[in-house]
Amino acid sequence: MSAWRQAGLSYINYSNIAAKVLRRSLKPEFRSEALKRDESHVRITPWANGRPARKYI
Amino acid sequence: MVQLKQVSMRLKSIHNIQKITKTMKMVSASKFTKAERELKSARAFGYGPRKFYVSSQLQKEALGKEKEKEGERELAQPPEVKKEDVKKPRIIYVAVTSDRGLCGGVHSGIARMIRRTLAERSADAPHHKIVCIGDKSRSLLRLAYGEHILVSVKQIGRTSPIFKDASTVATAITQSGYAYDTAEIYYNQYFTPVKYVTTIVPAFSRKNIELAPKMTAFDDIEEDQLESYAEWTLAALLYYALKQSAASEQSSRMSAMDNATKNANEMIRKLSLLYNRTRQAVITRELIEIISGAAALK
Repeated sequence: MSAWRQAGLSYINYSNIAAKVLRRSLKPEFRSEALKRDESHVRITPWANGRPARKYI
Repeated sequence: MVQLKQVSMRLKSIHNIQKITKTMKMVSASKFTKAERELKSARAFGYGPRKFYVSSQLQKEALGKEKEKEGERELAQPPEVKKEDVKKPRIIYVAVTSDRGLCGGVHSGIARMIRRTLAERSADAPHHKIVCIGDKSRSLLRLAYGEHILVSVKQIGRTSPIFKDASTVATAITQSGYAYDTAEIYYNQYFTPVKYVTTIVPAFSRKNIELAPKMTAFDDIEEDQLESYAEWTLAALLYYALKQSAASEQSSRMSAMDNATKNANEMIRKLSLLYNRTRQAVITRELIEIISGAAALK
């Protein structure tokens, strides 16, 4: 089993971290454009019993 | 007799509406070209997993065939899920919409399809969960299927979707703790600026992939590879669906706004005719009053 999975990361977390590092190590002229793809604004609301359970996590 | 003032006010407001719809059309046209361009690079994310599902015979239809059939709603449902536990296939329905309306039937088509499928499979209703991506699907499905909603996602469609969005959603689905067999992603497949088709693409869980009939054809697979792959496919397919639905939403909004502008034009034409007629009538009436008054004085 790989080290990152033992640390409790899923493959998605792992590949996102890898992508982040890659984006940061780009040349400056590409970096700013690529960094825009780094942040996600979606908001997740879990539901329970037919209504939103908690506010955003 | 219509009041002149009322007509002119109406005319003005329709002029304003027309301005707004025209601007919205322009905005969505520029967003659409961007979405279409980005869709090209996202196609691979959908192609890979689906090809794998077909070649491992998780899914019956070949890719080409599936495209023809996409209009009907029959793909999904791998055979062995049915055999294995007819009692309770745990399915997550993912409705891919966005927060914004005013784009024709894009969102309601998704909601309608999910409602129909849920009604057909109502026997195992307790095992159905819905994931709403975008406010629109949430408000459309909330009344009827509120207690089935697992997770809802907001703030989609404000900017063009990125892989991070898809992975956030995928992580939320996995972390919700619901052990699903299949996630059916409902989205609008974009074809041309005037054509999109509501489509289902399944994403299978790890257990299902392991049980795939032709899994032995693949060489040298370790267990955690499959787990990683299952996690990744969900995110990739979601990303693909988000991109597709973004493109079809913008194209549909473009044509909806175009129609609205045309309608407003039509109304403006009619109303300005009415306005001129009424004004003429008022002038004529006043003239008659003056002339007849003067004639009475003589």
